[in-house]
Amino acid sequence: MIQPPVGRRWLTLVLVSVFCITGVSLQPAQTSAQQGGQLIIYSGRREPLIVPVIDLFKKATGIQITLKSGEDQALANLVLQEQPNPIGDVYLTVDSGLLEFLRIKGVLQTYTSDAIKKIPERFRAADGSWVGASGRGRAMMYNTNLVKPEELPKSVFEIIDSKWKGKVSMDNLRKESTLAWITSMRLAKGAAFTQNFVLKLKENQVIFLDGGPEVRKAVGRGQVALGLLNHYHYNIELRDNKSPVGVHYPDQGPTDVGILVNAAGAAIVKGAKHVAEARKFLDFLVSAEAQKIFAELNYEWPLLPGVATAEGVRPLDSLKQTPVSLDKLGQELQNTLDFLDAIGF
Amino acid sequence: MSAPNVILQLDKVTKAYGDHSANALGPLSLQVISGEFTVIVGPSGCGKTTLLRLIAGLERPDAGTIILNGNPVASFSKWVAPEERPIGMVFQDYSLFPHLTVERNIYFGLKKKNLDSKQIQHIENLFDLLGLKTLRSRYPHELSGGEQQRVAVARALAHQPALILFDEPFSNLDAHLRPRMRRELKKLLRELKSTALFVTHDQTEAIELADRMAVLRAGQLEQLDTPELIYRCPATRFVAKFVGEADFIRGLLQPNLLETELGNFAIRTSTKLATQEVDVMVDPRSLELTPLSGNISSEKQAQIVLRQFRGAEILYALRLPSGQELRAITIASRSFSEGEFVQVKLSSLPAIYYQNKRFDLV
Amino acid sequence: MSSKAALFDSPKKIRPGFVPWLLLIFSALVALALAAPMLFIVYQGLTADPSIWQRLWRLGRLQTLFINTFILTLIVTTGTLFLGVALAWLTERTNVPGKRWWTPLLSLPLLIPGYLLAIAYESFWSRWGLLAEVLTSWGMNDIAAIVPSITGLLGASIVLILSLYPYVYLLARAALRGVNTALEDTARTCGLNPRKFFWFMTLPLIRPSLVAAALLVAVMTMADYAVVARMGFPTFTNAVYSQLTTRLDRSTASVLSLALIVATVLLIMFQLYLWGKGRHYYRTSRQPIAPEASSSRGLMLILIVVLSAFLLPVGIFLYWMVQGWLHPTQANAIWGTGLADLLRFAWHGLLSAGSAATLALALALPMAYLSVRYRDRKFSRGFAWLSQAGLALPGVLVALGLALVLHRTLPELYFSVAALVIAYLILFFPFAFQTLESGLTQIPQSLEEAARMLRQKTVSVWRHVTLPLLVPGLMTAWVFVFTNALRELPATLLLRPPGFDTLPVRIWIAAGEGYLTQAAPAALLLIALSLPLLFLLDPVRTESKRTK
Repeated sequence: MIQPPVGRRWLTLVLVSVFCITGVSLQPAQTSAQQGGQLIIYSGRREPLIVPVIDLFKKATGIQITLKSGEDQALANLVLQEQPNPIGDVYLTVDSGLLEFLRIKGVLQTYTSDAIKKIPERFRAADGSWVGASGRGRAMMYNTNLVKPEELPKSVFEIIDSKWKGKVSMDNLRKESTLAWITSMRLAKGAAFTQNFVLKLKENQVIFLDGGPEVRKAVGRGQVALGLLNHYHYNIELRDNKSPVGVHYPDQGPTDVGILVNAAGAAIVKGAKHVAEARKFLDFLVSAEAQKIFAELNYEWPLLPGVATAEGVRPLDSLKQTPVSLDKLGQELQNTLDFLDAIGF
Repeated sequence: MSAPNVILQLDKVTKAYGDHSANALGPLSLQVISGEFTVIVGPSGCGKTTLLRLIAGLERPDAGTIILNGNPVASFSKWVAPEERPIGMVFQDYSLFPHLTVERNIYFGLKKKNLDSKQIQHIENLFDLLGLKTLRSRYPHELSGGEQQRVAVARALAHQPALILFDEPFSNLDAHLRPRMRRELKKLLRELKSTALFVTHDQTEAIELADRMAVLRAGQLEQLDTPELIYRCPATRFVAKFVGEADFIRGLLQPNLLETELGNFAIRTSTKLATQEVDVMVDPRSLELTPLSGNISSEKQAQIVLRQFRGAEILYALRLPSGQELRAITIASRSFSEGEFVQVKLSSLPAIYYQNKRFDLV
Repeated sequence: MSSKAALFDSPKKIRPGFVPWLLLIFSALVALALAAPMLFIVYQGLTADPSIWQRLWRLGRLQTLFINTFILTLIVTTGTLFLGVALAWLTERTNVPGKRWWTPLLSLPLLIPGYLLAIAYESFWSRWGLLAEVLTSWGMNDIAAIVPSITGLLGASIVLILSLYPYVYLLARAALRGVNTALEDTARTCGLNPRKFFWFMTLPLIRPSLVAAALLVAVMTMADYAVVARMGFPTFTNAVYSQLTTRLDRSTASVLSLALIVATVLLIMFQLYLWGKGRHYYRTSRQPIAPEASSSRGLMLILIVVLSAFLLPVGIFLYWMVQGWLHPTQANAIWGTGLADLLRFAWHGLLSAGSAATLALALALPMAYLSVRYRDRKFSRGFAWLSQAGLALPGVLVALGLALVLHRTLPELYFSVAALVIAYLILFFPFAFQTLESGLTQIPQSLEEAARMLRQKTVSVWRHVTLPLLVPGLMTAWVFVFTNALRELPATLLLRPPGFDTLPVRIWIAAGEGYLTQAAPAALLLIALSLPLLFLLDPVRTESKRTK
């Protein structure tokens, strides 16, 4: 270490430091309000999937939008924390369970308009605290080289059969969508059944991967034959990798439970400073234009009846859905977590 | 002749250990005379480095006063920081600044433009005197141990301090270089009329360098005298053992007689004393060894247990009949072999020590 | 008394009389400010509903997670120590060919975020991964079939070791430079065989730096979430995150975080214990050492490390990027980021990370000085503890805490770049502190004392002696903080002003949804950005001119 000083590098360091600090302090502060109103949105939905909608809204209304995107749950925590003086006006999320959770904590305000009423009741809070904007369903994706359509399981509960040992993959049980699915199972089939099912998953060597995209890729390259994930992953895999995959919606029989359809949605924060603009935004989210974008961008299901799905996506009304309303589902999520803790999963 | 100029005075200076369990040093009082070389010598752990650091101002005493050039620099009410004291210091590891050349090391703390020509001349003179002219642009890690030491000395002297401190300056040099370096340094400092305070654990070094020597033990001053006096008249048993090559045997002190295994001596004491046991100092070079002749009683015989050839002298380790051991150093012309019995005679009256302190005889 | 005599002649570390009030006060303020979010979390945890404690206690899962974390931390810390010291030795003390080039290359993993390395490894090593794909396309199906999967504990350990060894490597190397080689030479002439010599002689001399690096590595391992989640090896942070994310339960997350804080404090105490007893023999001069001959094994080790820690992941990203160009899909338009935007986001990162690094230096230096030179004083180390206890906390938790504090007290700073810089400061201050502490211990106090004896007042001593000698340490500290801040993700996601994205944010947007091809350009740019910094870290070239 003891060596002559590196004078030139010393100088560089000092210059760089001065530069950085000056640069930082010169950064523009929060965008000031302009004519046409202002709205601050916290979005857990990734930017590429929401920015087109926001841009359209900006053009249509002239409202200045400040979009803060980030991790869903971290932003939800932020919403909780900011009370009673919230900065964010609208909270946008991919997981309706979070919306319900925030409602229970009492940090949302209600809003129901004619536009919102057009969304089926199942996909919004009963008291109007939040509304779903696009839907995603629990489907099965399969690798066509490894499974023939005839071999596909009629019900999702068949995956604990020994013939599917080691051939199925799904998302981690504690991830939002999967958690919601387990909850719906608990509500529809009871705790004992669910416990048995969950424990058998491990026994049957179901491969738990870190997220839907991983499952989709695993199915695409033939690592597993079958994957349980959100329906749109099939379309994405086709689009990007042109993999030999197919999609299958189980439990569609008359006595079956159907597939669970979850929703991504939005809510207005209690005490928001820009309530008028927030309401306009929520209305816009459920309008036909925005719904169309959700359908095209990520192959999700538009929840506004009458809006077409993207090509290759089976329309929602052709599918049997698990008859559970999302707000009920959201209320039960905590109990499912306790349930999982209790059975040691 | 004018009274000697006391440049440094320590009055009952005390420094306690970090945990305040005991005193590391002191209370200690001593004086350093201007123009003299004072050497503080003692075994490891005796506190000599602490003493030096207290004088330098690198540590603060817990009690006592330090007065430099008539001005108190450390006392109950006053404290002068080391950078304000006109003291220079040469550290044991030289502490040369590794990122500066020799020249910049020596000129450290002195802005050339602020110096007048006399001062610059003085420093350039140091370069000459210490043989550093060719090393000006070298870096410390490119120098040998001896060269580094010279740079350290020059650096301290460049500020023309009133007092210059040396912390074991030769301990990091090769053994064969030391005598020469000692002589050269002493010559240089004399030329510059410097006052120096050395700290060392090597008594040979101390004796060579010192005008006056201070022997330290466990934080206390045992003796402060010229080297000759310390060598010939050690004030305590410890000093005797440390500085010289003395041995001690038991003796019995009676009112007019000193009885030892090496013979009895008639003495006179100043006070009336009861008979008591004392320690008798034996200088190895004051022993005469003669071969046994038949009619000497066995009491005065000693057995040679070790013989060590030392060039001009021979060292013998002797065991007396009582079991006590001591050494004798004789010139090489007479030689005995190990295991032989010889007759030992003490040629002069030895020094007597009672409870570590020298016992004064009239 | 005699047993204490040995202590006697050692120069005491306490400077006489000069009570470092200024340093103390400054350190106190800094420590408190940096620790505020952590203290808040502690407060939350301690005042949480007692039923939470009961529930957690009954959770069997917690014990498994705890054991997992312990094992992983142990493996990674020992692994990085071995690897880092071996590499430092090879590049500093042997004649290994290409020495000049290995030294910067071996520091490169600093530039690759752990999560990217994990992604790269996971996609490469597996029967279905990249390697197998490539092998299959070359017709080597049999070999492709046996490509191992590196996941779980093995995967997490490998990725973390490759990701974190540079901290040990750089600090060890700096320490090896400062060691008193005369001591070593003496020992060598005494006939100690090379291996024993290294173990008993060299290692203890560089111990403080190793301990500092080990602390950083251990705590970073404990705090890591991205790598272990990717590798499917749940550790304690998993529990913290799941409380935070699935239950939105900051109280429980705080309670769990208490465990992380306690673990960090214990590690810091352990570090101080290991450090405190050592007497450090440094000499300012050194005779040039004859480098030992190197073996081909040494060279091989270096090659393997450079390959696996850097060339492989970069190669994988390049592959993805090229794939994206060759086979463009609609995804590119949606999930990719244009070059102009990428450069803008890179700029954001540079600014905020650079500011954080400089501020971290300014704040850490006085504290490190206090801690090293005034070791015996009561509070000098206490502040160090305070400012570092939060090192193991998940970034998102610290960010939430900071957001709350700012929202309530300084709302103008909420969602400002300043908030982001403060978050980086809080998160990465310990890097600056540890590095500076390590660097300062290599500057013998006797040098500063010598300067004082040459009539220099304190500030002048620092300016002319301490700081010039500390420059390499300062550089390293700056680079450590900078690279960490540049790659930081969870706090950035939460606290950045809208529009002030950084490259990691863009990577996350795409990679989180599985669009690795679209994430690759941002990843490569992130790595490329930090490359020039390596020249700040490595003064090998200047050094060789001076040593004869």
